[in-house]
Amino acid sequence: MGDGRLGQVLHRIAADARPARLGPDLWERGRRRRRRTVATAVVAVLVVLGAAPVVLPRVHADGYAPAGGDRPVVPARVYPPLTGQAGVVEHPTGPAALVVSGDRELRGSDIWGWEGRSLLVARDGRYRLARTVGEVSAGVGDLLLSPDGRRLAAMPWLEGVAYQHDVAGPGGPQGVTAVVELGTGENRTYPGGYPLAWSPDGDSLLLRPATEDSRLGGLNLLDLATGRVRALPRIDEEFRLGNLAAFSPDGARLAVATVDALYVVETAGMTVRRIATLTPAERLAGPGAWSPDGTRLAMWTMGDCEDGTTCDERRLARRAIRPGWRDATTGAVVDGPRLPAARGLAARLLGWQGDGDAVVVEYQPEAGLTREPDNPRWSETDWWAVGSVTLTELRRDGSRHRLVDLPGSALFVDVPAGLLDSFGGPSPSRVEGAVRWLLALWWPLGQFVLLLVAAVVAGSGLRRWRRRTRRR
Amino acid sequence: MDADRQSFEAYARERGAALSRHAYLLTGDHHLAEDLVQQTLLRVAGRWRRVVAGGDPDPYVRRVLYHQHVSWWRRRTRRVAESPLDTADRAVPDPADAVAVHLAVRDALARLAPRQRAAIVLRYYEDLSEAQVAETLGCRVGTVKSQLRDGLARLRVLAPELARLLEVR
Repeated sequence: MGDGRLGQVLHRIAADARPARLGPDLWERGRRRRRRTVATAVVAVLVVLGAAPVVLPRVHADGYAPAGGDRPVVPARVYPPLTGQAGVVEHPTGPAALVVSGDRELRGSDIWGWEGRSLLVARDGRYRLARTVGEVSAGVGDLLLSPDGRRLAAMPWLEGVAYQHDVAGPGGPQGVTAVVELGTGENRTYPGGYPLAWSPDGDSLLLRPATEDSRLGGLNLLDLATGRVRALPRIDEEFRLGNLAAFSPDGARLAVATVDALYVVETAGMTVRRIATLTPAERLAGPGAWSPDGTRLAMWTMGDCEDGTTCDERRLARRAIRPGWRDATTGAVVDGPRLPAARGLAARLLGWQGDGDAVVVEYQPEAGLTREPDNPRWSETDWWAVGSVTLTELRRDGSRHRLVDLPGSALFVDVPAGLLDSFGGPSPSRVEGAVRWLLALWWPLGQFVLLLVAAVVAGSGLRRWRRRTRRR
Repeated sequence: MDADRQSFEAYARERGAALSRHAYLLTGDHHLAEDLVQQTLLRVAGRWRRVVAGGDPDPYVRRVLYHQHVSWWRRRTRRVAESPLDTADRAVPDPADAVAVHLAVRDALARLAPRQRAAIVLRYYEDLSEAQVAETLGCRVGTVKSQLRDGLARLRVLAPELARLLEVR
């Protein structure tokens, strides 16, 4: 008997089968099931992406090769921090390559316990948070990285800093600055004002004592080795915080710009000279304003919105900020390397690259911002005035180049002066970036949505598992 | 969408009985067979438009049916008894006795591993070539050959009295 015989027997067995009863809703159920399957797959992908941060920071910590020699360390791309990212004081990572502060997911939320976060990116690529409460303007004053990136000067209410109450100076409380060693997390507070600028060697810190009016009052120089604070000659005029002071490359002189004048202070001899009267449109370019040879000072001239009339966001965003030069001794307008104009609400020159190109922070106005004439509180680098920020290289050939892709909510950024030739370093992978971006989406609501989705998926998974168990 | 639905329902009406026969051969149980057919058609309904776009739906539906069956078996971790049927107290069926053969084959089939059973049903009931069986089960022709060989050998062990019937290639 061959296979034909077995086939006949199988047909006879099959003939015993009862036709399956098929409900009239088979089509609807099938389509519904298909939709559910597709939705579950989408949700599963989202959950995997959402769960990845639990694993990623660990992978990430070991994933980067430590920076060495000439290797670029300032990341080409910065993504938003994660909720629960470790703090910079409790979990130090070593020297930092960049600090960025801003709004929304960068600032954090009271829902998660902190609303005043800033993101520090270590030289090895790890992310850490500097947490506080309130708006933080990194680079302008609240958080400053030392030239080698090994120290962070901060306001004293930073999380993890043992804040000692202010010691009143001669004119009353002046403010306190905390200095955090980023390699160890050790920190110490110093009375004498809030951080304003690091000396080029990183041994001294310029402090701005708090004043009750909008005038400068005086500046203090903190020697970090001894903790001694010296009061610099008094310059009691109105000032612009983002473009206030710059150390000369040798650290022996300090350029200070008030609203009306430009001064040079000899830090050793404690003398001050007024070298120029400034027009309302003129600004000291920033902490890197001195030319590398120490003979000239870079200045900005604002192209619009300085005529005392009302100026809206559109004009503020489009105004050109043209670079120029003044002699550091005479204050006279002089020629110097020609650079393209910056653009927007304000600009700060962080310093110079080896080839003479300038590293500039450009600030764009907040949506709906209007500059009213004679507004005594107007500040171009105020947290509430700035709507976005870019870190740009202004090249001597007239071109511009974006140096770091920052999160959309970034408002302020600072890079150690010693790393201005070190852009283009490694960034988190695209996958990690996508996760960070996803978690930051619709901040902070997006995180709740993801949690909800995860709960729904877990619940449906449990139901399916129970069904299968029962079937067995 | 209505046209898709109508064509799906027409297919289910026309082919429901045939699918039930396949399912019964695979499961050996009327209720499980009905469940298997329903689950198969539910899955097919979800992607019916693509299925009919590819031409004759039968091969796809058959694939779903067989994979669904194997998948069930895996989930239930149901094990086939390894010991041969105890034939000591059973009468050797007379090959002429069609009913006895029928029952013996059904019992023996039910004790095969699902892939072996699927291969045998596809090959000897559906009369598919080994290549077609391989395509339906999603494996290589060599695997089908070994499944058939092992399945038939196992049938002989499980029901030695059917040896003559199973003298197949």
